[in-house]
Amino acid sequence: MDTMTLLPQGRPLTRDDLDAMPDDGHRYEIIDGVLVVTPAPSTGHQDLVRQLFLVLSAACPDELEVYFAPLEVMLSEDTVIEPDLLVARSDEFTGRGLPGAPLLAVEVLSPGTRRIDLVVKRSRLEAAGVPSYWVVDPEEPTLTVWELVEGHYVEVAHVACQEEYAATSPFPVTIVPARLRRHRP
Amino acid sequence: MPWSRPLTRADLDELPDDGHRYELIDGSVLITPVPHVAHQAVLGRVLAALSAACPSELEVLPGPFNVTLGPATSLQPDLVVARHDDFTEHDLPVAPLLVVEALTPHTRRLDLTLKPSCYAAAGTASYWVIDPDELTLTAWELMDGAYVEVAHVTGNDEWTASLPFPVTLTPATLRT
Repeated sequence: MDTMTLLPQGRPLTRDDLDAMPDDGHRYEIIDGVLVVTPAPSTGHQDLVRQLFLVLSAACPDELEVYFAPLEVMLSEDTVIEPDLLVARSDEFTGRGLPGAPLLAVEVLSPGTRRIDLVVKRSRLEAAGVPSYWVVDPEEPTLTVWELVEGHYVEVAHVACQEEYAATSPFPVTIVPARLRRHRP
Repeated sequence: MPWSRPLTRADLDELPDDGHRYELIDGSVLITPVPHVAHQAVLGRVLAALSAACPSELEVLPGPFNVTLGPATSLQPDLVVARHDDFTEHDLPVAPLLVVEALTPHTRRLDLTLKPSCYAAAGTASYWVIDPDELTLTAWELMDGAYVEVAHVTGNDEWTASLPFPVTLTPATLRT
């Protein structure tokens, strides 16, 4: 618990404070100045992140880039998040991460982050003007897609298992949730 | 922090008393800056109004106080009302009857999204939010497992709650 004593006394946290966080396997994010510490994801979660990364990368046009976490996305001075996957314009990345809103953020749910991903992150990404937010629930599996319409997220797709989602934003790609899960013998 | 595993109440107890609010949600930790004076002033008025109307079998407590909603979820509401007998010496190990949160710039989003989601799932019948800047009070009550807004009052408007007990509040009088 020594690491926690590094936190500055009773003030909102900023990106610089994140640099002082230990490399202990937790994900450290700041949302509106509140530090959110989530456990490292499971192998199954990462398996799914990899599969989706490969599908997105194969379809990604030259001027865009697909990244997987950890990569810092700075939505404002007091909000720095690390989506599981993100897509943004190649020329917008700096050495430290992405200093603005991505075109797409993707979160793969896990028991510890489900509520945070579905309510807090969705609300914050909406406020930041991220055009598309995808959430993959590994349980069924399902993919839910929200897109920004006049400043608010509208659910434009919810597909399960073998159903197909033909995305148009941020680029055309077809996602089949069942194919994101590798079936080990 | 212990190496990359979901955190528990026991881990929270190890954290320093450094002026932050530490809360546990499904094994993740939220570390929130301490609120300002105006926030506490408004809560003081609400605490006084609730305490004056509170029946003897219930108790009104101000935060920081741990409300334990499961092995991996422990929240610290600004104000809580629960049955007197439900409190232990260290925490409230069951869902409260009422939770009141006063918004700050840093907790606004959490208080309006994440917290009601947790309390609705736990079965807390009433959830109130006070905006100290706008001087509004919004109240939700649990209906079929989801919160439904039952009141939104501003300024000199009066609102009389029926749950968890009858009490009348006027947002304008909450500011010092």
